[in-house]
Amino acid sequence: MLASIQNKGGKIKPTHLMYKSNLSHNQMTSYLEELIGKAFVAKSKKNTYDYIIITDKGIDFLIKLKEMKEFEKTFGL
Amino acid sequence: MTVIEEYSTSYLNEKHRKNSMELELIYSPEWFFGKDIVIDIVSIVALVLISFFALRCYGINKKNTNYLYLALSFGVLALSFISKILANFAIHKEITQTKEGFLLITQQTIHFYPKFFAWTVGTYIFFTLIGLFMLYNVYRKQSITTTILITYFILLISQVSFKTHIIFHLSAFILMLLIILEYYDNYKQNKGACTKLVMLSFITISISYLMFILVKINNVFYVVAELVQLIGYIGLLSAFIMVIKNGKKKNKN
Repeated sequence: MLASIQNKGGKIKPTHLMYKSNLSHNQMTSYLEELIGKAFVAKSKKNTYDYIIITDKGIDFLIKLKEMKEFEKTFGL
Repeated sequence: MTVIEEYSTSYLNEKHRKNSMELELIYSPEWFFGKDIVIDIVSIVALVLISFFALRCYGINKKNTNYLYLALSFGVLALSFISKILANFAIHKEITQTKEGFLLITQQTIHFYPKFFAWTVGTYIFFTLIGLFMLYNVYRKQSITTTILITYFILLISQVSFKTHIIFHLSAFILMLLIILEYYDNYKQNKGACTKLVMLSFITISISYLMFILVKINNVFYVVAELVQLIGYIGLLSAFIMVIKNGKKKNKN
């Protein structure tokens, strides 16, 4: 989900996020609540549209996650 | 002015002399004394950085215990190098100069602390072999009984290696070969510059253990082995830096 938001320039509409992440509405709502709770994403409103934006903490976490995957691959973990 | 150089040792009693002859692990040429510490520090830096990173990964994903085992094994290997550095302080020279008329007498005293040396070298051998075994265990999980048995054998090797260092270096080389096989398998599965560099680094480090075996023939091999070890750990450090860079680079795209 975080990667989907970032690929869209850090801001995405909830419906687009649902399609991009290939999740059901309930699944997405549940994951989104967790991500908001951890301050990785935040909700914002612009011209009556709701948007989900990735926070700096979310970007940092995404970087860490990608480093982890690279490390895992390199050392065969 | 005439300069007279007089050499003497502080461990003149028979007991200490006997100890110094029994411990077969000093093979560094005199001009290389202390320089190997720098090489060991580079190795420690590489090992500690990888260990801390693996520990941080474990903090994020506790389900993958391999991160923890890798962190521990690299941490133990770093401890082994710290013990090796400490062993250098068991022997030190003291140079005193006294002037008698027209003569300047330079006296060189070598201080040797056999008990401290035995402890530091013993822990170096033990931590190296345990660290390598733990690293192998990351890829090939061993049962508790096998682990206890191998730990016992490593303890035995740590004791026997005081008499003949070949056993230690050969054991480390064999463990390294087993680890290299795992990294070769990983390279075949995930072909990339980083996986290749990790495999090549471990091959280089294993060659350094072979070089240490040859030290008895000529102590120049000690310098060669240390330099090969340095290349190996620089390779490992480079692979780690590449991992971090790749993680950040892909994120930008």
